[in-house]
Amino acid sequence: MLKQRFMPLFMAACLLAITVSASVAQQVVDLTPPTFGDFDPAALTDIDPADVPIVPALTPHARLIFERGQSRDVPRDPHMFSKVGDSMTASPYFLVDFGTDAYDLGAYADLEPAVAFFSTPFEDTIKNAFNRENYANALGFSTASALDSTWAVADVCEPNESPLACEYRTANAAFALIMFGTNDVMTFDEPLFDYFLRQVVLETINADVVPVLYTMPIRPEAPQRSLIFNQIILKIGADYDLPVINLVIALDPLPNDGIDLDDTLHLTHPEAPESAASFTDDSLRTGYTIRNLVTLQTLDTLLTELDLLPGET
Amino acid sequence: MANHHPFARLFAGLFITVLMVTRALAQQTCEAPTADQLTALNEACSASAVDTVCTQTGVTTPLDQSTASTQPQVIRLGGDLTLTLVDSHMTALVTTDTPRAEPPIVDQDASAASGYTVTLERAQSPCADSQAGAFISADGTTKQRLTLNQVPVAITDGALFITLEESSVTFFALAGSTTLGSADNPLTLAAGDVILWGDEPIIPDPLPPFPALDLMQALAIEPDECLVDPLVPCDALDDTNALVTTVVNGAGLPPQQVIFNYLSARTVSDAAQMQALSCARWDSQAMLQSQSFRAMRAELLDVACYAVSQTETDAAVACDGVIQTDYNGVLREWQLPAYALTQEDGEWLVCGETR
Repeated sequence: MLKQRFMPLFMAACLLAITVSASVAQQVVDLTPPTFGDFDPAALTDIDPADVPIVPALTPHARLIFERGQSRDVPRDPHMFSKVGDSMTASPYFLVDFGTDAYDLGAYADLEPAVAFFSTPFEDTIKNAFNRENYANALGFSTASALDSTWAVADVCEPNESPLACEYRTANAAFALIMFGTNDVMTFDEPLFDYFLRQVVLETINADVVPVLYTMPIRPEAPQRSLIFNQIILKIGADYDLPVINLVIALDPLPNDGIDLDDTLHLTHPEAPESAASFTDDSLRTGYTIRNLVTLQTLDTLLTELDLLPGET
Repeated sequence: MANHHPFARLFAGLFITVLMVTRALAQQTCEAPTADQLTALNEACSASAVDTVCTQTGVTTPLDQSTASTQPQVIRLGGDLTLTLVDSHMTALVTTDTPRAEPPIVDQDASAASGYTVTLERAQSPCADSQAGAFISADGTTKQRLTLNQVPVAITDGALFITLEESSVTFFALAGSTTLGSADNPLTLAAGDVILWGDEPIIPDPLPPFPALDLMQALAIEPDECLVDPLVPCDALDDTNALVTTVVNGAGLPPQQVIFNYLSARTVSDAAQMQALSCARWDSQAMLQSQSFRAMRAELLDVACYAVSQTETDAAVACDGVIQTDYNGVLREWQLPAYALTQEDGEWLVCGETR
């Protein structure tokens, strides 16, 4: 009897708590479109990538974005993620083999539920989040390319639709794995990179897709600028209260920071028969394998905190 | 009314006169070498000895006795390396690292740079903003190395133009193959690449002026790519004095020419030019498009634009041809959309795309 009397009160309190926390998250995040020229280098001085964890937690704002995505007329698909970025993201070494049985989690078998979760077929195809075709990554892609309709795939995307908008429309994914910087760092100055990456992130947020950012691997030709660009990425992650996978620190122990010195645009990868989807000791000494591992660990964390994995309460 | 002393007026008058004379003198001293001068220099120094500095009169001086000069000079180094200092306002301090200058000067290994250590300095000059630089050419198929202003340089059968800034050097790869940086972390340049080497190598924005073609021709240097705008084959250039030709804005130009200029500016990531050719509504898109090919080398292939409709205030332009990009050796062709233009104050401005 007492329980029955207090139940509505308890429910109302819970609802209020959810509403308040969502509204607080909304209030602290300024979603005003960026203006070119707003970049403030002084705001980066206290940001040290070494102080940031490699695998991020679900942030309040990311949770809010996810919930908004679920309340759309056609909810965003939590079993799907979009891969947004340059050739390292378009690479067949990035997660693709997890879409089939061609993977070996090794000592990380606890990631199996997350792999299974994202192995749900995409629409009526045999593809899934790991290996479906994405429309917001390509060779030579930069933050500007993702926003420029010139780069949109003609047969799939609508007239004047940006690759990013096209990808989010066609994939209907709940999450977006976003990594930029490797091309940008050699061609853009800091204000341009900040401006375009903020636009990419904002467009993702406004599409009710949860952005998951990465710090970028070091370009050996420009280590100091790579550091500054990573500070920008972390600043943007903090400004929009989003998870950032701190890849550059995860790569730090690897030979040459996980970079292929014969092709500094790309990470190292294991030689066959090893694959970047095999978490063996040898494979884990290459850049792509580490990126795959920290990505799966992050996705597992997000799914766990969103209570999306079987057995989670 | 103020009561001025007669000497004060005289002093003021003298002061102004001195200022004007000084300014006029400063202007007079700013004369870059002409193509004819360089042709004469090249001929006079064609047979100059290795490890010497040669001037237009054909007089040569051993490297270790050379002094700073405001005249163009040819410095002949071992291994068929030639430095031509084209700017009269540059002093050159060339030092050889004795242990490493032992023959062979040409290092055929892939090990760290060896051979000459060359330091070029820019003169204190009222023309400091003009070209202060040097051409470096290497004949033969053997990789030839030197260290230039602390930057290891390796050239194979090619040519570079360099300009000197306060704390950096800008390299223009003109022909052949060039790598910069240490052997364990090299940066390879293809002809047409421009790299500003300061604390770290970056692609300068905006791109600095490309050296005048007639100066290169005077030195028998044939660039593989001509970085002029619009991009045309080097041998088709009429105005050989052109550095980076400035694309005129839309004033008085027909819509199809405006679009051609817009596309040309896009291939060289010239945001200011693209925005100048755009209406206010298209401004941010022009800025975006100016940057989206920037990680790649882009050029117009067989592009010809034509107006498909035109009224007094609006026009639509379509183009044949493609933009071709090269990213890490991967070529890709991009179809061109049709463009919408509006006329504002007599100028046609890009104001949208249609696909």
